[in-house]
Amino acid sequence: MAIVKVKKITFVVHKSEKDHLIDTLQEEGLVHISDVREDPAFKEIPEVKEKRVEASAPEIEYTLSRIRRAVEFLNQFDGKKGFLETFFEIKPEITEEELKKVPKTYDYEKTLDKIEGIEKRLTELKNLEANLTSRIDSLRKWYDLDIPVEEIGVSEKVEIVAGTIPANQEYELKNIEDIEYSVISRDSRFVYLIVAFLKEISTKVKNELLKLGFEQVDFKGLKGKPRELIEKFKRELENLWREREEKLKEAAELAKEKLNLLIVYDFLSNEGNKVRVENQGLETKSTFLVTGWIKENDVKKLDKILKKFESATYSVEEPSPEDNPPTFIDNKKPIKPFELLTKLYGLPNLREVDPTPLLTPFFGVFFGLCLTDAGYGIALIVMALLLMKKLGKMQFLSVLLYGGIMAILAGAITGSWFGDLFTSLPVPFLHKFRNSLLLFDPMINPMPFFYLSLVLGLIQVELGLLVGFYKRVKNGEIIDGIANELSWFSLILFLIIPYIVGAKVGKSYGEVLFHYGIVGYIISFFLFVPILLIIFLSGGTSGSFVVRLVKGLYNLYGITGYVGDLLSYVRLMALGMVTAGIAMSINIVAKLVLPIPYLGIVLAVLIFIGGHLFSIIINVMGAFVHSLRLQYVEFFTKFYDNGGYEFKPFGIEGYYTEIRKSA
Amino acid sequence: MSGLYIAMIGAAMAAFMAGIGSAIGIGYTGRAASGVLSEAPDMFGRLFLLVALPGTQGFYGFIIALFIILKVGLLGTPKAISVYQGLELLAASLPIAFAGLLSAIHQGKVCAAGIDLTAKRPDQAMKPVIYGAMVETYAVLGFLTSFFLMINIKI
Repeated sequence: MAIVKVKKITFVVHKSEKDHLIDTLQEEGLVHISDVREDPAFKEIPEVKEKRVEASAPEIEYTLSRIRRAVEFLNQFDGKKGFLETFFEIKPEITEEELKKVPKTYDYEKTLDKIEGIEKRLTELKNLEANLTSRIDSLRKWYDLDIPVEEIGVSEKVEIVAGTIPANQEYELKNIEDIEYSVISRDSRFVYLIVAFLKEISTKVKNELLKLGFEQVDFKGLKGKPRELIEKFKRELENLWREREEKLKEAAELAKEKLNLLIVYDFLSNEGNKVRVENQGLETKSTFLVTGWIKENDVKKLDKILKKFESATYSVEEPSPEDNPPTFIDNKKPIKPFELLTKLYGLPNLREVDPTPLLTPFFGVFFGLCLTDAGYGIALIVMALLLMKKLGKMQFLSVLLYGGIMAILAGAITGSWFGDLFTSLPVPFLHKFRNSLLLFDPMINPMPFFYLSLVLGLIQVELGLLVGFYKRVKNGEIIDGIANELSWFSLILFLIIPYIVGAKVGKSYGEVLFHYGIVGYIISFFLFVPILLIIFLSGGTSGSFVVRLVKGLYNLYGITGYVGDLLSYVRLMALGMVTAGIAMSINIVAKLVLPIPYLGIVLAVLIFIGGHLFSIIINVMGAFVHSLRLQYVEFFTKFYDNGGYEFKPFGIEGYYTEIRKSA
Repeated sequence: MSGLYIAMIGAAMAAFMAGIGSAIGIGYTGRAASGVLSEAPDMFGRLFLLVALPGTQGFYGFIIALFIILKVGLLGTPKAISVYQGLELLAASLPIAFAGLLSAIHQGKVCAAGIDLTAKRPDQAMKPVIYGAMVETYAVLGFLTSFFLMINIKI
């Protein structure tokens, strides 16, 4: 039902109408374009084989990457992102008219140049700033030097050098003959000094200084006393800061134009998609050919549109076995949001069944049982509705909404309302209300919860096997279906039935099978025949009898896997109990602080609200993940192979924006 | 000697061992995620689940500890617990204490790898979560075993 039939479609137009065709296809958004080079019907044609592989238009790609960079840069000035936006992407909404108009009227090249200029200047400023700060830092040591630094160096008769020596060598300086030196400053490691001596003995003095570990400091290019220089650099630094502030202000001003840039981006990326489609088609001397996929019901619509063309022809065919058509799944409204879960795992291919309607009831019930708290269910529904109001009807939120409803049901029958809140409050009405809905209290008697989990697991695993059998029949593998899925279905069911029957009539397991008249024989039949079928038939048709027998025996060993699968469903109970436990502990702590005078009530309310909010988040997360896992690992493995890819019609798409169709 | 002490050791072990496991597990995931965020700050929401997943073991341990505390009446008037009952409660705490400790650490490693995957292919964020949930199964089983052992101890 739920996988929509798609047909292969091939368009041929005269070259002169190529652009018109591509434009029309994009506007209508009905056709999933495929590459002729991958099409089994065309890929052997020499023209296709020799076709040059071209990327989409490089100029467009270049502008797109410029905009991406600019947007990333502007994001810093765009005001803070809300908490919600870190979890959900919120795109601004625009109309199709805006998408077409803005790129024509808005000079985005100018804005991009400006932004890039600012970005570049900011980097430069940063480097200059680092440079200046390090200069100031090194000059600080020479702050007390009272001569302009340009005087350090060689003059007519005298040479002056500035530099450092290790602090512990300072007293050795006295031993060097014929020099004058003056210590400017000291720190823990070095002594900063200038040394003067006659030019003639320069080499000798320098050698001796080197022996002490002297390192010359160069003031090349600087003029003035260090003190003045520091002041000058500081002023320069302030100028830099001022300039940076200005640039940042400019950037913040430009950030107001971000939406326009986003629109231009989406416009250009759609233009780029057109080029891509053009490249996926085949151009001959006078015609242009492009292939794709279309939903069966859309063919008529397309026919009407193509009538406007002078030269357009198209042909629609069923996909051939070599084809690999994309998958489009479409479900009725209440199930629709759960398509999300199917897509998360991977879409079915065309020959598969769509598992969405099958997993929906299970996921809902499992989610409810993992949460098992009516209070949390209500809170979750409220949160989901609030988020929907803000973010629009997201599939994910709808799934949470259904989950919340199931959690209320599960919570009501197990008497869990914000944990044990209703029983711990001294309000008789709440007790009565809780008890009137209560089916069993897992805190006192957890076994019903345990059995409920197992029974649900049994139902889902058995259903999975039946669907697997149905699939085999559909594909003409009836024998394999009987030897595998159907046998396991019967085996698992009738492995359990004797326990239940035995418990009812007071007989042991063996007695039910062998000493219980006709009923016993029927049960035995459905238990032992499948075992034989698995041993003798499930080994396949190739290989010798012994090999097949060994394979069959090995397959029978798969029983451990099924037992594991069933036990895996006990997590429903475990997570339900954990919710109850955490909620209870929050209530206990809130109650503990209550007797504190004055503050107690405030603290208790804070702990109650904060604690439960936290607990809801943690438990919803757990419920979602584990319910999903049961679908993927325990259920899907029985029948489902993904391997489809999504039917994505070529149309107008918004990368940064949500484009509303104009009426 | 009163069995109360032994029961308290059990409650303590359930809470602190599973808690240590979760702390180490989230230690791995948190570091991996912070590394990713330095490059792609928008990924916070998408990585949230993977970071938080190894945290559940700590809760499982805490719940068992809480049940033991309630069972021996530590929050009100302590009940008379024999040494045998104390040992029974200690035994009941062990499955979640050890399964929680080790599974959380390994889940942390699995999820940290998943965070790397998500960083490279953001559309694949949900698949590593399922791998993480596979590790968690054994913590769930540990919790259930502890739970069933505990509720069947008569005091």
